Amino acid sequence: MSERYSGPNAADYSDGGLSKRQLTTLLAGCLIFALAAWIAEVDPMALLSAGAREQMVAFVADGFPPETSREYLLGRGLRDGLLWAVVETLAISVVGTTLAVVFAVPLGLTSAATVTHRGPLYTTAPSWRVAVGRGIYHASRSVLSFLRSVPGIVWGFLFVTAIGLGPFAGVLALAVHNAGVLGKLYADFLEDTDPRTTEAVAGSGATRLQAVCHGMVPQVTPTIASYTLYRWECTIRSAAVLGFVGAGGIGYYLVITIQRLQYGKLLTAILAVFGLVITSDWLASRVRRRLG
Amino acid sequence: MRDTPTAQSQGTRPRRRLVFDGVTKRFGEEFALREVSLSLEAGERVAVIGPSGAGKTTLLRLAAGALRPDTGTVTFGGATITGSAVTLAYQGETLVDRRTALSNVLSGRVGALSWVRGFLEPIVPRNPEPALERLAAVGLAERANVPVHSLSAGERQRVAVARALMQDAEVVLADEPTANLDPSSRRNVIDVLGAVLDGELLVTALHEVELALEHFDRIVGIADGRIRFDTTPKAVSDDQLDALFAAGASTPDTAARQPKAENDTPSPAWYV
Repeated sequence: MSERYSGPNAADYSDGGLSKRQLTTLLAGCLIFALAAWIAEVDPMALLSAGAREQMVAFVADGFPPETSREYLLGRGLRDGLLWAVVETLAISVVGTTLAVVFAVPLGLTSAATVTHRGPLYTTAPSWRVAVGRGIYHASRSVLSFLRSVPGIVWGFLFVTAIGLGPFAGVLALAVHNAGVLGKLYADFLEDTDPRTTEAVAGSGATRLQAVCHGMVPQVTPTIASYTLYRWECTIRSAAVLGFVGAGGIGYYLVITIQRLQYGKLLTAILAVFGLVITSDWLASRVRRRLG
Repeated sequence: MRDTPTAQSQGTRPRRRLVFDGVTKRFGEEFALREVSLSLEAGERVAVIGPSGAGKTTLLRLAAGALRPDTGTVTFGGATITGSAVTLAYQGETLVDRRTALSNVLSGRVGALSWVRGFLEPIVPRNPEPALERLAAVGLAERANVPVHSLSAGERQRVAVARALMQDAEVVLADEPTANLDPSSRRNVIDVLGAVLDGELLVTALHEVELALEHFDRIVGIADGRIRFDTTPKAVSDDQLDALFAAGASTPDTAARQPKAENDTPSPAWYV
């Protein structure tokens, strides 16, 4: 198969210096960066100005010591206080991710070409069936793109407007946005399965759905589980800002303390988010090891 | 034949024929089979030999109903091939790696389940008895609960055979069941295939000519998608064999078409 080999070969590794192609790539990269920096109004002087320095020093100085009063941490009732907000954030992420998976599984299936109209399941299918499958595929992919392209916090704002303030709006926001993300991931994984395995199962007289469930899906379940866990970690970070629009969780404390210039309380809230992220990281890696 | 178990046990099954009539199959621009005609009868043990990329696998996939011919017909007992009459033992690498041997063998018969039952399987497991029987038949009874990725290549090949046997089909096809195996495992897999069958038509694509001549009673040589000879092992001459494999050698990229362990993705010719 040596004649089919198309990777790098000895000629690409001339001793010392960059090849012409690498040089152009590097130059193009620099140009794109410069352009992007100009668009993003990057101005290092703004960061170094006396005013900016003063503000940041004041912020850090005001933040210490972080607020640790019982009143602030525990509040006056069950659903009150910073610690409750931490728990609420965690709960929003867990329920939100679970709902996202529930939506993502059917959408992922209808967005995978190997499920809808291509590959081993369709070698003997009539052409109208392939056409229908292709239609479903494109429709479903568009839905996923739309869900994904609206940021979680915007979904949060929409749901708060629709059903009112509170963590449930946050749950829905995470569920909808992440259904888009996970659905695309699932679909891409399903398209990347070994067609021979699927054909082997389909060959036993299985229906398409059965061949998908027993031949295609088992090939990707470990990968899907691992990526879903990673996505859950991401939702914790998203959930932490959902409170900005009143969709529950610790974000409420972040935005309130910023507005009231209570930097001590802000620092505590930031530390709480930090703790939450580290904990979820650790938890996810534990679960992943168990799955592995 | 799950719907006619009595006919099978009493040996009163009519002798149906697997017939290829002027079959041509192309993948894109490339011809996999050209004008192939072949008639095979129940009880025969047929080895299809030829160089890599000759069209052996395509022939089997057409017989299994996994592909439809571009022109010509493939029939069994006069009817178009349906899933359950013909079974194809794919290569060992088409198993689901992380699942156990048992669960892979069970997947060989999901077609017999209602679609609701298929969904419930992770919660309400199926009766493993038929699968365990098949595993015992290929000598892997005590490896049933081992994940496939920790089995040897020979064992995987036998699991693939057991999976195919789940259908109780009248025609058993095997695609290179000895690929990537050491000599003793090769013989073992062929012996297993011979031992578990009882009056069914067996068609095996094989790389190793010696095995084919030794264990089968009909040899079909194909190269470049054409049948070069179709005869008994005794009648196969060395000249015919030399010509067969020389014909294949003239197409340089044929080796790349065989999905092998080193290149675990299917060849471009698998689907177009």
